[in-house]
This record gives sequence, structure tokens and C-alpha cells, in this order.
Amino acid sequence: MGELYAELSKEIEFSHGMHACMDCGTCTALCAASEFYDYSPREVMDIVQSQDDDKIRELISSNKIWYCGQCLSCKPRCPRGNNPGAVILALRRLSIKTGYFAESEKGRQQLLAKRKFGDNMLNRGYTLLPTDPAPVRFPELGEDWEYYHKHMKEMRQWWGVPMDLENSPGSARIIPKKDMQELRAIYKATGAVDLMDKIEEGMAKKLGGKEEVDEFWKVWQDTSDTKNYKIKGCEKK
Amino acid sequence: MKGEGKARVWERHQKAVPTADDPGGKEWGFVRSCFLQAASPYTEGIGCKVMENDLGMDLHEAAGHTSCGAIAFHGDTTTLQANMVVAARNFSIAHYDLGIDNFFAYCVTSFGNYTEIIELWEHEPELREYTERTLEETTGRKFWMPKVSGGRPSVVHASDVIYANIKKIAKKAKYSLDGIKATDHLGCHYAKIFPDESIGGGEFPQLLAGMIEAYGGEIVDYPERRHCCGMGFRQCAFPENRGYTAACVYKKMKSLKKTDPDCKLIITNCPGCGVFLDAEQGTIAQVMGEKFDVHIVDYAQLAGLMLGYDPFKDCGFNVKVVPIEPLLDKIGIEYDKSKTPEERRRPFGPE
Amino acid sequence: MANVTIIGGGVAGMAAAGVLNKRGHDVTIMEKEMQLGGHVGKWYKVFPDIVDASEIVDELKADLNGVEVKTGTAVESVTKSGGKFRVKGKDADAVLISTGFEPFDATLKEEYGYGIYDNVINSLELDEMLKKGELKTKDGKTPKSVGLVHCVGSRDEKVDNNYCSRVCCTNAIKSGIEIREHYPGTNVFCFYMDVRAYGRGYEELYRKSQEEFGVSFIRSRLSESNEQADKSLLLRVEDSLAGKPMKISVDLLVLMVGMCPSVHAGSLKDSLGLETGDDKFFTTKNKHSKNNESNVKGVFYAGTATGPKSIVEAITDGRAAAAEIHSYIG
Repeated sequence: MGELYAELSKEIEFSHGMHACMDCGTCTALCAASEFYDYSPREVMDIVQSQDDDKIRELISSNKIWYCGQCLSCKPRCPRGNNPGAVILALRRLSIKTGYFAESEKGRQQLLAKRKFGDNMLNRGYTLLPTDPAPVRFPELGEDWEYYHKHMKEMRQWWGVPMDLENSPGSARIIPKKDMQELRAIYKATGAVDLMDKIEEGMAKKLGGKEEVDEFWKVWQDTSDTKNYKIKGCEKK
Repeated sequence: MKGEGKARVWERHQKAVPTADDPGGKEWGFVRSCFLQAASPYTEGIGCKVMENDLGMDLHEAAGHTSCGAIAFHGDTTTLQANMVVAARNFSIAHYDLGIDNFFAYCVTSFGNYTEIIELWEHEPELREYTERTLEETTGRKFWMPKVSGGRPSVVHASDVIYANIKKIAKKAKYSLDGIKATDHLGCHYAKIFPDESIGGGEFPQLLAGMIEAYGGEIVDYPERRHCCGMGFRQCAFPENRGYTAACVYKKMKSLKKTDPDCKLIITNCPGCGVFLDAEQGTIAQVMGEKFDVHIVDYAQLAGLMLGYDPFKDCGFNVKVVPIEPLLDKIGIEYDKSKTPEERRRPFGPE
Repeated sequence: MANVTIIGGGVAGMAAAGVLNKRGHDVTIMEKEMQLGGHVGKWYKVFPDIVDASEIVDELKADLNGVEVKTGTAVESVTKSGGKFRVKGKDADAVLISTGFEPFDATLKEEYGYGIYDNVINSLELDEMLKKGELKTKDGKTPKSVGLVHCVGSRDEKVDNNYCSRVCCTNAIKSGIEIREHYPGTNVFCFYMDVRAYGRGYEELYRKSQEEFGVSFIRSRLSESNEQADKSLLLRVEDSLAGKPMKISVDLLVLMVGMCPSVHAGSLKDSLGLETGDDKFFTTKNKHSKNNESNVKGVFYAGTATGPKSIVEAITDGRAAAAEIHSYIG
């Protein structure tokens, strides 16, 4: 058993999700990601089951583990009681902790996840803010959504869900300071902040410094596509 | 399709949810959904209106409740341990600060997340101990286990609450789905993670089909009914991945059209599904040139429509991609036909 | 000479009765159905030589002259006193439990649609159709394609049956051959995880099914079946050898249901204090040389009551149990 596999085994999601795969294909048969990507949860389970560090390293450095949409359709069907979706979560955690996530294009999107979902939690106590599904990022939401974004506060009032209320329950309220302090304390004590820091660190290491990471973030904010950022010192990527 | 077969499945998977008329069934605590707050704020609005005005429930929410963080969890920027303690904090506030025992979540991902965490606490005492200890250390709060369904450790989803009271709602309804075909789309995290926590189970769930039935609609089944909508957390959040979401929606729409082209209504219970099954029809129209015009209506909006609430002001249909008017016409719901579609949707002037 | 009561008149019980009868014992068979023969008595043709199942039952019946047969007699409990047993008012020096199996209730695999979709049947229903010469979909047409699903209710934690049911693979192979032989225009697809065809002549039958009859084998456990507008089934599988998820349409879906312990096993277990394993079948003293002995002296087992078996194994097991009983009594 190699080091990587040993680390992986420590994740709760792994011990709950991996109980010896017999390659029956039930999970891959209905996996949405398998339909659209070169991906197979069965292949992932096989690689992990091999306990081969080289294969695992290759896996967590690739786009593969980031294709899963976490629908967990695989979980209720597996005849061995496995949960490939949970194993994917464990692999992703390992990928972040070891920094290998930054080797793949989809892995590097973790920076976006961290600066959106993660930072939103620490700043506002929600994973998503009303400004996040912005028309520029979600054009398919349509022109009427664009109108809503321009008139957000008054339309929410119109609907009966006013936002930004202070010291009050309500939709997208300002959560009181004391409660935010408690949340941040929890995130610190439970390793969530560490995990988020690892994402920033891993990106800085791969891209060549914090400024590059901020540049990566800016390119995404401006163009909605991380592929437009070229890693320094690499011809293609 | 054999009705008795489905009925047998439904019987096998039942879940007790206190109704508004049961003793203690009027007082409820609830937590909101990040996704709803951001992408479809009106759902919580109409949901609360129906529960408070039409079911006479007393709803309680704390200013200090935070998100459960499950989107961050499935987006790999937080840990399971963090989620356990955050969950415990939200439960603790609901019971000790708000004084309630009944608790529902508006978000299906929250429901799945809380249910999974409760299961972990029940089966792994060290995890529960860890949670209690960390909760005490970081917040000074006391641990409380919600036991909403039948006295066993559990939480329920807002759609469970609406379904539990569906007979009462259907009785009060001004309109019905008579002569209208509809199919159901359950959130994956409601029906698939713990099929026994889904009313009717994970394969032929009763939750939304039962609502359609109660309103007099005709239930349609199609091969891709159980297929995920494709929200996929990081798949929908970042435009460069969203082809996955659009592809999932396309798959479902094609299958529904092929099986029953007259069925133009999907009822949902999950925030993500409700948004993307609608919005991606726009992407598909633009990219593939195919229009499906399937109305996506969530359980709260549906209750609102049936009870006679305003489709735009109360139910939020003014910001949906697929125009709602054809469905309103079919049902016979009144709306201001003297206004243009744009005027109906833009209460603050055209721009 | 002694009194032996046999609970269950299927092939194992009948085989045991035949041997004990020849040895001169007073044998009583108590059978819950109205006729002997158990499941085999209802079947059409059996592998590996594709002979009529009824021939096997007739042969075993021929050895039963002088055996007391009580049909329509279900046994819920057995009482023990001293070294003797009392079964439905009758005394016995030894009891043989050959209560057999129940087919797995396929409605428990909700995602397959048994009992819900029109054209999903189980392997027993297929056998009945073939026996009548009527392979038909619900609307009376000959199916152009039939899917045979291995491992339904077996090797499946989700339905709490972690064991293999021994015969379903070979049964599927045989059924595939039968369908292709009588309905050459019908395609047959077997959806399997492993082809477990271990028994004399079984592997050869597998080869024959492919070579001579063109039965297709797709290495995938069936994940889900969905009904299409024309009532055919759309199946979600992954051809795991090609590494490709795929959807395939069949007109008729047949679930090869596994074996579960007989419903009556539970009450017999309680009344005698018999042990069962995690798989809920009766536990024998050991699995090698004492596989017909129970944990209660004088109570023996034969046939599928102790786990899935093929017909030849059940018959052999019955005769072995009879020999053990004969030694015990002597």
C-alpha cells in the first residue's frame, strides 16, 4: 500500500464509499458524466482498488475526477453498497491536499470554487449570493432575468422576499456578526479553512506565485473561461 | 404501467410528516436555500405564503441560521467535519433559540446533507462526539437532534411538508390540473441518496406524482425521468462546464417529447432542477435550434397556482425562460391579458 | 425399521424418500402443495441435456410405492420429546427438512419495473410461456428481442442477498437457446456479471448458445429498465468489457430470479431451534462432510433448504441425507 492510498483511506467518504468493486458496471450504466465525458466511475473504483500509488497519482492529476456531477445516482444501485460519488469526493480532497489538482484544467477550477462557494461562506454565511447568477455568467437565464438583476431589491420586495435585512430572518439577509464569527470558528476548527488555503497554495505553486493566481481569477471573471489563462512557461495548457 | 405495482411500491416507502392539523404540527422551524435565494427567490416566498396563509402554520426562522454549506461540500471547498458542526449549529439554534421541534429545509441538497449527517451521527458515535465537542468549543451551543419524522432522527424537506398537507391544499384549490399531463422530476439528493427517506422511494417516488394526482392531473412516465437534471454543482457553476448541464436537460427533453409530446409540464422539488430544466431549454434552442417549451413548475409554485395566487407577483413566473401563459391558459388561470407579456413581467417599467 | 417424516416433497425430498423406502423404513412425505414435485414438477426443459423436467419427477415418483404422501399439508412446527419428533400428529424417529426455496420477489428490485411495466417477467414466467409455446409480449406479439438479466436478487447487498444462486446463469443460457431455437427471428441478450456455468455439460452449453444459437452476452449488470411509449423496455447498461455505457431496447425483459429460503423455514426454525446463516438458509453441521446434519439431533436437511443447488445436486443431496438418516436410525 502506497502513501497516497494510505492518505486516501483516512477520508471518511472513502471508508464509507469503497467496499470492494466487482466491476459490474451498474454505476457507469447510469452515470450522467459517463454519457458526456470520457469518464467511468467503474474505472475510478478499479484504479483506487488497485492501491497502486502511480495509478492514483495519475488519476488525481487528471481531469477525470472533476467530471462527476455529484448526483449520486450510483449510490442506490451498487450491489456491493459502494458509493463512487463519495469516493470521488475523497479523491478530490486528496488531490487538493497533495496539490495534484493544479495539474489539470478542471482541477484548477477549484480556485473558482474556493473563491465563490468557500469565500462566500466565510464572508456572508451562504455558498451563493444573489449577485452570483449574473446574466453575464448565466446568459441562458434570459432577458427577464437581466431585468430582475437591474431591479433586484425592488423585485424581491415585489415577490415578498426582501433581501439584505439586518438582525432579522429573511431571504439573503445580513447574518449577524456574532453568528458569522461562530461560523468562521467552526470552519477553522474543522479544517475547512485549511482545505481552502491548500487550494490557493496549490494554485500559487503551479502558476508561479499569488499574483498569477489573481490573474487567473481575473481572466475568469472577465471571460468566464479559465482556458484563456496561459500558464507561464508552458506552450500549451 | 400497472397501477397496483406502483401502489405497492408507494406503500413500501412511507414517511411520517406532521401535518398542520396534527398536534404540534403547526409550529415549524425552517432554513433557507442558498440556491433559491440566489437563483429563484420567489419559491421560498410562495412556499411560506401557502404554509402560513392556507395551512395556518407558524414558521420560524433565525437571523443567525447559516447555509448548511453542502454546495461547498460537493464543490470540494469544505470538509465533512465542517458540515457536521454547521448542521449541529443550525439544529441547535432552531431548538434552543426558536423553541421548535419540527424542522424543514427548503433546499434538497441541504436535506440530503442533513440526512447524511444524522445517519453518520447515529451509526458512528465518535463522529457525534466530535460534533458535540467542537460545537461546544467553537460556539458554546448545546447539541440537539431533530426527530421530525415519526420520532426518529430525521429532518424533512419543504416539499414533504406541502405533500403531507396536499389533501387540504387540493380541497382549497381554485384551479385543478384536470386534463393536463404532467411528469415529476425529483431532486437527486432527495430521492437517491437515501431512497427510504423519499416518500414513495427512489424509483417511483410518490411525492410529486401524488401532488399531480391530488390536483387531478395525468401522470406521465418516460425513460429519462430519473436522469439527473445536470446541475452538478461545479458543472453548472462555471460556464465552461455547463455543456454537461445542457446535455442532461436535452437528453430528458428529447425523451419526454418522444414518449409523450403532449406532456409539457414537469413538476420539480429541487432548487437547481427548477432553474436549469427551464433555463437550459434556452441554451438548447439557441445551440441546437430545438424548442421544447416544457413548463418547469416547482411544488410551491404549483400549490400557489392551484390556490389562485398571482403567477407573476407571487409565484415568480415573470423571470422563467419558458413563457408560462400557455399553461395558465390551459388551466384557466386568470391574468391580465390587456398587458403585453413584457408588461406582465416588468413591474418597474420596460427597462 | 423406523418412522421418518420428510417435510417437503420436491425432488430432494422425493429422492430421500425413495432411498429410505428401499431400506424398508416407514416414510411419510408432507407436502404443502396439492402435488409432489416441487418447483421442478412445474418446469419445462432443464439443462444441461434439455430433458423434460416431468421425466425426472416421474422417475423419482416410481420409487415411492409404499411411501405415505400427504399433499396439501403445510408444516408450521415440529415438537420434540425424548428422542422422537411429532409432526402434524404423527410420530417420527427422524425428520428431514427439504422445504426447498422460494423464487426471489422481483418487485423488490423496483428499478427493473417488475409488476409495474407490462413486459417485464421473471424466469419462471418465461419457462411457463415456453412450455405453452407462447412467447409473447403483453399485446400478444412475438418479441423481436428478449433481454435476460442475470443475478436478480442474488449477489446484491441492496436486497440483502449477498450469495450467488448457482443456477441462474446456466438457466439463462438454456433459456436463450430455447428462445433462439423456437423463435429464430428473436434476438437474445444476456446481461451478466460473470457466467457461472460450473457443472458437467454447462460450459459446453454456454459455448453452444453462442456458436450454434447466436445468443449475445453483454457483460453488464442491469442498472435500470424504463418503459417506452410502445411498451418495450429501454435498458441502461455498461458494456464493461468495451468500457462503454449504453442503452439498449428489448421487447421483453426476463429477470433471472435467485433462490430465497422457503417461507415455512422461519417457523420450523423457531419451533426446533434450528440455526440459519447470514444468507437465511439452514446451517449444516459442516459444509464438507456433515452437510446434511442440522444442529438438532435427528433433524436432517436436503436440497435447496440449505442453499441454492442444481437439480442433480438436490437429488444427490436427498439420497445422501437418506443414507445419513439410515445410519442415524440404525
